[in-house]
Amino acid sequence: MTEPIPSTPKRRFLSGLFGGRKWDRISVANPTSIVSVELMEKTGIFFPDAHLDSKKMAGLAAGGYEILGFDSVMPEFSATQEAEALGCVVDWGSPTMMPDAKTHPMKEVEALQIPENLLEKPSMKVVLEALELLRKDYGNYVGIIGKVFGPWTLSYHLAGVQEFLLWTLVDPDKVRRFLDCLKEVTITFAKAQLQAGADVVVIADHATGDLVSPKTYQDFLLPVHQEINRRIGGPTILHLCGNSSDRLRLFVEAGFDAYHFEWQVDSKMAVQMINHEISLIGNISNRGVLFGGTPEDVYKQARYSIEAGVDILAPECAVPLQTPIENLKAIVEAAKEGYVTQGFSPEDHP
Amino acid sequence: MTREEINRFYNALRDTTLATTETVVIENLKKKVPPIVILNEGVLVAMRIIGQEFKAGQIWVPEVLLAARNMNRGIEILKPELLKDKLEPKGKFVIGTVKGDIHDIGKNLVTMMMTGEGYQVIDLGIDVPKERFLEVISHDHPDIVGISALLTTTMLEMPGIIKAIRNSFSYPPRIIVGGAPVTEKFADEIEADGYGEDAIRAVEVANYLLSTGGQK
Repeated sequence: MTEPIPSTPKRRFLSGLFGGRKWDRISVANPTSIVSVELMEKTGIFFPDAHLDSKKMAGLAAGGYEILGFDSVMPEFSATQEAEALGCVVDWGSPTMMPDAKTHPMKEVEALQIPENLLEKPSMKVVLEALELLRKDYGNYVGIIGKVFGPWTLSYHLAGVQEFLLWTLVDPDKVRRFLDCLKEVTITFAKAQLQAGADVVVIADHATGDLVSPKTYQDFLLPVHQEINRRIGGPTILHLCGNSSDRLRLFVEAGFDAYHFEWQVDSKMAVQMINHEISLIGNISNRGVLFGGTPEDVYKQARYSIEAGVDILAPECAVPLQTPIENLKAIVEAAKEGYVTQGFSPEDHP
Repeated sequence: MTREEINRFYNALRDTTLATTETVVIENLKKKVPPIVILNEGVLVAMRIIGQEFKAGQIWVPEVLLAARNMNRGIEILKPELLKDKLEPKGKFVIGTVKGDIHDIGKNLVTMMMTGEGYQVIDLGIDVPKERFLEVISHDHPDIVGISALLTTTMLEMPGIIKAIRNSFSYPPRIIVGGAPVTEKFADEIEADGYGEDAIRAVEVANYLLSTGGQK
């Protein structure tokens, strides 16, 4: 009798990403940051250094596997690496504060300019170097996730959220020109991250359900996302937060391999709508559960989503920095129970 | 105002051309409709309908931003006329996003809705330190203060601000809190007088606090 192929973090992750064989249990991964103050203390690597020093960035990302037991490592913790390279003034924050772009320097199409040496900009280069280090140390055994921001989010950074959203109505042509120009940043950075050693790249693009309609996504962003996916070639995960129940099918059309979603979207409904045409990654709630809840609360949500049939288990979005480490480990513990829940009715929506 | 007239204001606020609102307001002034009626029964009623549609998920943030832009233009035209009538605002409302937080869409939506409701709103903007809240309260004596935060880290600034306000004034204003990570439970824990889970709810809570003399 031949030995079964062992289920390793990398195999589980890749299999979940492409909706493949299920092994003994669901994979647990992190398309967005799982860094907390406690994780910084345990690794001895802190914000803001970890945003700007590739060794520290890789070291802190590795903590997600070494300390929390996730199947993947993901080194881009902030939403501002590209913003700084494009000219925003960034406050890189502190161990208890995420970085933020302080200025929105491009209000006009004419001002839009992508630096020629984009990948050489320190805030971009650091991510590529961190991915190379992670590939070297963990590439054979752990899933490696890269992350870039899509042109919609980059427009928020460069023009300001409110201005950009208003343009969708009063100056749609300007919106299209912003997206058309900035998609090149997304594509260039994504390709470089795959070449540096990422197994897959997350494309975070916040045309979120809380801000814009599905029609706005369809009219402005869908064709851009289709082009991005065509041109990148390698695997991609869409991260788009908020309640997106009304636009799930559009993400299938956009050509992503997987969609990373929030707890506001019911996982049973999502699995039914997506019908395994792309994979679903999610969706343990930050508010009130990972942050502010107990490991038992995390367990209940995790088991609900496993029973619902999501492909990979993950926090719904970048976790708050004060998230207790036990709650993050509780996701992995819930996954280790396998696919069938002991003593928990899948009908009980937590 | 008739339903048809209100509809004209509604359509003007939804229009991407700023001049449409200007035209409707000026036409009404020419017809000798009292400016306070144009404001309360035209512009603000239309804005309230748009707010309700937003709450019901029928329209989205860009449509609200557009309506607010148009509404502000309408109010700007009416202001000199209204001042002649010495209009009293419904109440005075101070709002700001806490120190360390530069997010302002939610706060701006509350500002727009509160303006639409007839409050005089003093918007302190983003990244507002505790001291600035205290300074404005002692200078302007608002009825209600709104504190906003979008991050789980920055919402922890809220209890300190609330304590400082209550310790600094013998008749402190009522305080409402809101923002994506803020929950009703958190608002209770930090002893806020009210919690607005969205902009419309914030207005309802403010009205309630005002109508009950500030009792929660």
